[in-house]
Amino acid sequence: MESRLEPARRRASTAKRALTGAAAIGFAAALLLARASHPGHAASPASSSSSSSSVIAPADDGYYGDDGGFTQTPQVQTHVS
Amino acid sequence: MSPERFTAMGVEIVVGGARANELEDMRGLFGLWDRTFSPFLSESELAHVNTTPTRLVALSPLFSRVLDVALEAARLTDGLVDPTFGSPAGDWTTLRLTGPLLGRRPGTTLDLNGVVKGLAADAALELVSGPGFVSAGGDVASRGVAVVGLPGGGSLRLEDGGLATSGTTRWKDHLIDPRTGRTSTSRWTEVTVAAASCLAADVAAKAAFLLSDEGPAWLDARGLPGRFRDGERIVTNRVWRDAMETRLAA
Repeated sequence: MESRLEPARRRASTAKRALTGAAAIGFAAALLLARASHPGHAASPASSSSSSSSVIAPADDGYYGDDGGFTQTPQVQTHVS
Repeated sequence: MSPERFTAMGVEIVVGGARANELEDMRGLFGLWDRTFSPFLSESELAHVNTTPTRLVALSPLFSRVLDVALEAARLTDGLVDPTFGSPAGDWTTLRLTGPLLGRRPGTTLDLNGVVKGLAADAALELVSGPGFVSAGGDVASRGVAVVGLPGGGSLRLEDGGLATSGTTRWKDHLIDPRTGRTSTSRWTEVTVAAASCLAADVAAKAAFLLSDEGPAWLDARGLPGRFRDGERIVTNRVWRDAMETRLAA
């Protein structure tokens, strides 16, 4: 027979796992959650990516321009403003 | 199609992939954010908050949301990105935000520059229905792939995330170290960080810049790719190198 304490223990265990998960989600996700969880803000974050390293890659798939040279022209520049 | 460009919040906004109506909405969004957070407009909500002498002040939903994010950024960076930077009284740990009500020590002023630009770029990108990108003063948010030029040369593919650069190359006193109240003595001239959002990239770039020698390891510990420029010399952290090499090997 299930103890009357079991449901409470299960809830506590679930809450503990949720807190541990929240600690592990990292820097970017924490900021995304801060944005998304606030009332009046769109729930969908700008990115669905969970890994920050996966958002960058070498710009290696350019094209051959009129002069025959391989070109990968940036669409936009990151800089200090 | 060439990116659209306009000026808002004192910086150049560059937008790719937006339809005409989305671009119009975006101009409205940046206008609203400028009227709310500008430290240079006497009628902005920021100016109102900073000149209100009471301990309690009621905030608009937008202002309280951005301040909430700024407090989270301060917590994640141990105060390196501090929304009370330059305040004559109190620091971020003395602020109490409860819904739309802000409690603070009398005289505490706010400066939300640490998060406003990155957050605005992310919010503007949400107005674009398809793939596209938004750059606010060089801080970039992207859905789909954008090829982004890097400080000092080179470029990379940014896919579904953010890329931001902090440093001193444009304004020599651009970053003040909240720990000392003086111009940062960081060894870096520029730090570029990629993250899952432009906001996270911007906050992390500021923190990594201020941490100087400890910046690369600080980013590694958080799984964030960073590229550090020291004059002509460029240093990348482990996560950045792994990301670039993994994609090349794939």
